[in-house]
This record gives sequence, C-alpha cells and structure tokens, in this order.
Amino acid sequence: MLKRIIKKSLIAVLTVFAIVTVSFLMVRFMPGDTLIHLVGADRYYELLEDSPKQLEHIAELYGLNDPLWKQYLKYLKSIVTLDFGIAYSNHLPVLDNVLSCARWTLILSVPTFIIGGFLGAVAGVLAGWKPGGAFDRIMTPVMIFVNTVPTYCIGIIFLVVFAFKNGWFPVNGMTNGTSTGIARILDIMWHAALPLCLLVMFRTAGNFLLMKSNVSQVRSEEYVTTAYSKGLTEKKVLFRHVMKNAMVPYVTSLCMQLGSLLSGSMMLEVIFGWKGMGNLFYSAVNSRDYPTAQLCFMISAVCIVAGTLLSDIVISFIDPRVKDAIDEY
Amino acid sequence: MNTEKKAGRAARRTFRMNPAMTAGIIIVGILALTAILAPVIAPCDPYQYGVPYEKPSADHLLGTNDVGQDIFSELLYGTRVSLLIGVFTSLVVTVIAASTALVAGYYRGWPDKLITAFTNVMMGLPNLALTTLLVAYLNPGKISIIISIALTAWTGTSRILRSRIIQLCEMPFIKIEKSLGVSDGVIMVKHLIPNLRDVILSRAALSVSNAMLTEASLSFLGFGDYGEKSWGNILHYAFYQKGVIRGFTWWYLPPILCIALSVMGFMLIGYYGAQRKEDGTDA
Repeated sequence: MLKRIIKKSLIAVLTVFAIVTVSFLMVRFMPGDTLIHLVGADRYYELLEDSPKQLEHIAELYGLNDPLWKQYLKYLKSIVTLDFGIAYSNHLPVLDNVLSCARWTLILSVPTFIIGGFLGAVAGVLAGWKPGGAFDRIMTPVMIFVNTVPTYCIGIIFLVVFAFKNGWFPVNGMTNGTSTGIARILDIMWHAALPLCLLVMFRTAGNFLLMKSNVSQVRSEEYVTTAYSKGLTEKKVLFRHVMKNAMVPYVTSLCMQLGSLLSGSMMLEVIFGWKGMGNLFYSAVNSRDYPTAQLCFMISAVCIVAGTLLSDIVISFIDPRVKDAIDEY
Repeated sequence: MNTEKKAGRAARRTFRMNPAMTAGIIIVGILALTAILAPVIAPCDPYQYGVPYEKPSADHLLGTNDVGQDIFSELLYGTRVSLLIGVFTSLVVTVIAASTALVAGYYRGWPDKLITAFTNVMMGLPNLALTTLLVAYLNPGKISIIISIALTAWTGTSRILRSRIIQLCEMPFIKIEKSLGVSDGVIMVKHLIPNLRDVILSRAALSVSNAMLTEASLSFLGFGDYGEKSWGNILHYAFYQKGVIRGFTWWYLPPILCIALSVMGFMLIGYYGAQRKEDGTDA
C-alpha cells in the first residue's frame, strides 16, 4: 500500500510540474509579443508610447531576452518563492487578490459539497435499492436532465424567475455593503441563496446518478443473495453489505469533488456576479490579465491534483482489495 | 470463424434500439437537417442589421436582437457552428483516444507506461479553465476552439478503450491471429476496432455533447468566435445586452432550449448506446 501511495504521489508531483510548465510555455508561444501578455495590452501600448525604457526594464525583469531554459529556471524560482507578479486591475500582488476571492468561492462550494454529497447519497440509495420503483422512475429522468443541461442555462432561468420577475432574491453581488455583524451574515446568505441552490441541485444530480448505479450494481452481486438467504432483514442487507460496498466509489468521487472546490462554480459565479475565483479568472482572461489568470489556473489545477491524490490514498485505506492491478493506471 | 460471428452479431445488435436512443437520434437528425438547410429555411440574413429589440412578429418569428438581427435566423445558423464544432471536436478526440489506446493496450510495455502517465497528467488539468485560457490567448476562430477542447477531452475515452483492448487481447481469437503472424496493423483494423465499435461510437456521441456544451459555455462567456453565430453567442448578447433583465423571453429562451436539447440528444445516444453494449456482451 505504501508503494502505491508513493507511486501516486510521484504522479501528482509530475502533474503539478506539468501544469507549471504548461502555463510557462503557453504565454511564451502565444501569438503576439510575450510582453503584451505579461503586462496587459493597454499598459503595453501606454508604456510603448511614454517610456519604452520601462518596458525594457520589465522585459529584463522577466528575463525575456535570455534563452528559454534560463527563463524557465527564473520562472520556477518565482513560483517556489510564491512571487506571482502584480495584477493590472488594482496593482496588488496577484496572490492577495486570488486568496481573497477564494474565500468567497468557499462560501458557495463548501455547503454545496456537504449538502450535495448528503442528498445525492440518500436519494441515490433509495433509487438504486428499488430500481423500477416509483421513486426511481420519477427521480432518474429528472436527475439525468439536471445533470445534462448546462448550469448557466438553468441559472439564467432561475435568475429571471426568482430575481427579476418576483424580486425574492438579489440579482447580483454578494452583500449590500452596509450592514455589519449578524445582519451582514444574513445578507450574505440571502445573496448566496440562488447560486447555492443551483450548485446543490447540480451536485445532487451528479451524486445521485453515481450512487444509484453503485447501489444497483452491488445489489446484483452474489454476496447480497447470500446475505438474503442467510435470513438477514432487508435493513441489515442494505446497511451491512450494500452500503459498505457502494460507498467505496462514492467516497472516491467525493474526494475528487474536494479538489474542485475552488474551480467548480465558474459559470454560476459569472452569472450571479459572485466575486469568487471563477469570476476572477473570467475577468482576468477577459481583460488579458495573464498573471492573475495563470495563478487562478494553477491553484485550481493543483487543487484538482490534490483531490485525486487524496482519493487514491483514501481508497487504498478503506478498500484493501485495491492493489496495483493490470488495469490500473 | 469466431471473429466473423462476433462481427455479425455486432452488426445485428446495432439495429436493436431502445426508445431513449430513438429520441436521441431523432433530435440529432433534426439538428443535422437544420444545419444543412439553414440558408433555405432562414427567413432573413442573420448578419443583416435592422430595427433593434423588436418583439416577435410575422416578419421576425423570434424578434430581433440589440443590433436588429433576426433571432430565428441566428438560431438556425447557430446550429451549423455548434454542430460543426461538436462533431469535429469529437472526431479529433476519438482519433487521438483510439490511437493512444491502441498503442498502449496492444503493445503494452514502455509505450503503455508512457501513455498512461501522460493520460494521468492530462486528467489532472482543470478542463474548462485550461480551455478558456487557450481559446482566449490563441488566435480566435473555430480551429483554435476545436483544438482547445480536444486537448483535454480525449483522456476518458482513451482510458476506457485501453482497458477494453487489454481485455480483447486476452481473447483466443486475437491470440490465434497473433501466433499466425498476422501483422499488427491488420489485427487492429480488422479485429480490434470492429469489436470496439459500439464503445467508440457511444463515447464519440458523448464527446460531441461535451464539446457542444463547452463551446456554448465559451461563447456565452464571450471567448468564442466573434464573427460567427452560435447559440452560446446569442445567449451572450442576450445576457450582456440586457435581454435577460428586460424579460425578452424570445431572445434568451430559444438558445437555452437549443443547447439543452442538443446536448441531451447526443447524451441519450451515447449513454444508452453504452448500456446496450453491456447488455449485448452479457447475453
């Protein structure tokens, strides 16, 4: 098991390295002058007119005149020292910007993770336990529909119905900016209600389908038949045999979802004007603010890698049967 | 011959369909027809400017947008772009996935290890974020959208195909062919691919729906092909040019329905196609 964990960790480190390299190469091989991407198009032309010297200084700073491998080493060094440059939008260090946005995203994604994980599991077990029953026949098409339709499509419809038409919820933003203390918390909750509802809905749908297929697969295993023929009650079979086995892939998937806590809600954040990581990334790409976009990309990628690694470790603890099989990646 | 029997059975299975799949095929068929006949059906030129913000009328079935273009014609032409990008991306994805899976699953050894490690690394990347970055910084256009989506989308299919190929290679008919000295290429083209056809097709349908979804998301965010009409693009303008706030249902609802319906159509084909395959092998 230790060997397996070490191997998986190595792959994770390799992936992080690949992510860092990709984001280095991307800006260097992008069409157009690299400097445009690094300082932003507007500022680039501004500087080109006013003070070409400063532009040269910036190029020097990034080492753009050096050979590629030297630039790469310099870049790696800046990453290790957590120096990601200055954002053009407000001239603060990129890292500070991103971290303050990450907090807002977590307000949405942590409850989604918990509630969606719970609801999806319960509904999935109910549907998978009695396939073809009334609950299954109603829920499955609904959940498949929710799972297929793009988030922002339903998001826009929700926005129109609940915010514009009826005015039950705010249209945009995260707080009214004036209240303090408990009122502020309530206000944030009120603003978060719509996007949170949607996120929970989509997460529940995905989890439901996963859990349902797990449970219905385990149900047809021979040991379940054996358990029944031993004379165990329905409840005991469900909790002792079916749930235990169905939970294994489910827990793996939950760990993976932990990895996408920061990157999973981009579209809805954009629609609801929620200034989280996804929105920051969107506006950074939109205004060609490469340092910010790059850091958002790297942070969310590293989180996803960490989530995958976590799921690998967790599964080798809870399910000792998983070994380095032939089919294993 | 064992293989011929298998291939024959596979061919006959293709014609057994369930209602979900039929529904999917009907949706996709209508979409394809619309895309081909768009210039014939469309009442107006979707690029023609006119009176902005018109309500639906006999002249403009779904009204006009913020620069007075006919929304109904926009939608019809949008089918072309969405479908084109979906199908071509899926083609690229399937070719990449199938070839990597064939090399990895058939030859094993170091190519397998290399490809597997590479697939793992690719799977660790956040898809939408990477695609958005690429599309935003590459030269805008359909080709860069296709490349950006395909770059991260092939890993899942490759994984599934590889494990199927490993299973197949353990079967006697492949082993016999190998020991008879049939060349690797012939075994792959004549035996492996026909036996994987159902999986490949259903995964391809799923990747069409994924690609259409990603394309719609990108265009909705405004990172798509500016000059082209696509559903995501229409929705982008409806959202950012106050169509949604003013409650112009005829502007934002049709593209939403089109996106949802087409994604659903390909999804049904892919999802139930895969299920059918499993039923077939069990029987």
